[in-house]
Amino acid sequence: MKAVFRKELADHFGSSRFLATLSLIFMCSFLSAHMAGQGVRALLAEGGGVWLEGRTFLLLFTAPGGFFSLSVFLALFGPLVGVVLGFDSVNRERSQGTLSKILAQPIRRDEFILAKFLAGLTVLAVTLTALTLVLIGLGLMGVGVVPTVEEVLRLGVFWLVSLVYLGFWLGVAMLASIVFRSAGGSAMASAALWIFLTFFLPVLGQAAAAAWAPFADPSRPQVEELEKLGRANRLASLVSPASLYDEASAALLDPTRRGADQTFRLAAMSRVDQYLLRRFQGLLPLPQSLIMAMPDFLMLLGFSAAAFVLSYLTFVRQEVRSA
Amino acid sequence: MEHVVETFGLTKRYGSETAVDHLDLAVEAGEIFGFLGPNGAGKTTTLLMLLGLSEPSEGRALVLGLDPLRSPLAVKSKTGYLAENMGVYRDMTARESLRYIAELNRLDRVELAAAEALELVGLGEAADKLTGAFSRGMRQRLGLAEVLIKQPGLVFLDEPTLGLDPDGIAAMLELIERLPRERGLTVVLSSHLLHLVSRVAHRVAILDHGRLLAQGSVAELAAERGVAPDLEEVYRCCLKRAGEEAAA
Repeated sequence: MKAVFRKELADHFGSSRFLATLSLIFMCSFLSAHMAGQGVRALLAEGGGVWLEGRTFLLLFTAPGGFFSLSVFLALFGPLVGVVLGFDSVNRERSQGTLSKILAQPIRRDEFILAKFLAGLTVLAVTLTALTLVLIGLGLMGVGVVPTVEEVLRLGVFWLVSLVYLGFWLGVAMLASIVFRSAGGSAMASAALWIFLTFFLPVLGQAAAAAWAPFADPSRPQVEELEKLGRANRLASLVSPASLYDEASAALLDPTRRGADQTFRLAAMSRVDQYLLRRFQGLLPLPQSLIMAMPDFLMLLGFSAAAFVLSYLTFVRQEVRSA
Repeated sequence: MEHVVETFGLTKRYGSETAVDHLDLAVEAGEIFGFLGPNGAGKTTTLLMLLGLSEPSEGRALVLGLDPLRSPLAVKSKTGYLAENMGVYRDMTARESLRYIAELNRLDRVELAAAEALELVGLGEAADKLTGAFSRGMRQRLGLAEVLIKQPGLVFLDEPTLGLDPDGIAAMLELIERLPRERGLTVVLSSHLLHLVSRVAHRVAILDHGRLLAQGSVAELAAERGVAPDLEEVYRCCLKRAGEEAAA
């Protein structure tokens, strides 16, 4: 298994396709962090330092800047890295005639597929670590604020959640590479699933939630109605890995966040109340943020495990001949 | 005579299609065993079952005294398999490819074993060239080196001369012929090219539509059927009789 793992790792790091995707992700992340950093600097210059205390650094990852925040960017486009690493991992071996050669060696099929998955996961872990460390470095230079211990811990947990999320997409792409004989077919299937789960499903979920919890008077929604819609939205988001990741990372990177349905409660308040609440409420301690992120994280972990187990089961049951 | 491969009613079905039909084979130690049949006769499917890479629908097999279904790793570590259209990792050199196979087999003295295997198949000088630039013949020889590096007791060669030019075929057959003599190997040579198999095989089995039509030396099979002691004559006679039986 070690031999397959090492070979896969070397293949990934030497692959021009992976390096191109990685460069793109890094460039966009830097841009996003740079713009967020400018916004944070402006806030600090305006004297907002007091109420930014304890979360200044995290804003580099959550502030929208000019376009997307970094966490939203990772939720939307991070899956591409997982897909690039996995979409041809098995069918490439099949089409180049090396699958039967390797499986004729004393290696079990489960070891083979596990080695490929772990190699992909390791590459994702290294990528995320590099991205996080470089952004921390840029933040230190750009904003001039040293992160607190709690901010570093929050970033560490965010790293883990991101790894599980990207691992889900690696598992999905590997499953496609087992089911589809051609790399083109598996790439298309993975991309279609990415578009559906990331962009369409949340919209469909919100539409279903709105239909399930309609407002009596849409121009003046009541607090109870907003809370019911919030709960329905929350329920709908549980089937979308992107929404789960979004919720978990928001809970971890934004210590002012009180819950997924906070947005809906805020909507019922006046603008002044909203401002005062956001301005003066205390920051949630890390253990409580962890508790808040836990259901989303566990669901995400379940999705990732399911994607890998499906790949594994499909592969071990497949005939080598048809392969 | 000691049997290194034995099958007992070995059968493989894919849905309603029977690829291998109650096959009873016996391969003796140290021989080159020609495994013959037209395309789609069930040769490769049988080899995959013998390697533990495909599960029989019925019957069982013994390879070097082991059941491939129960002990696939032990069988695979003692046997070598050169698949039809065996591929190469195009971004690896021949030496790196062998190193990879050696690591998968947990072999000691990898470098020495790789150098020896490459010399044996005549690829010593191309050891550090990328396999992506190899000709078809060189790839086949590399495939054979990958089979031999683990020093197996039994090798399965599936259409090893497919796509080779006449010189490549002659070199491959010469190499195959040397294996039992110099290394004490048993070779199961699967092919549909009768004239090539007849040059090296000690005994043959003829397969058609998954059924075993005949098994033995060419002389024995010819005598049983009253035809000239020639593999092509025997083969044609077997297929003709099978066709007549099927029609009846």
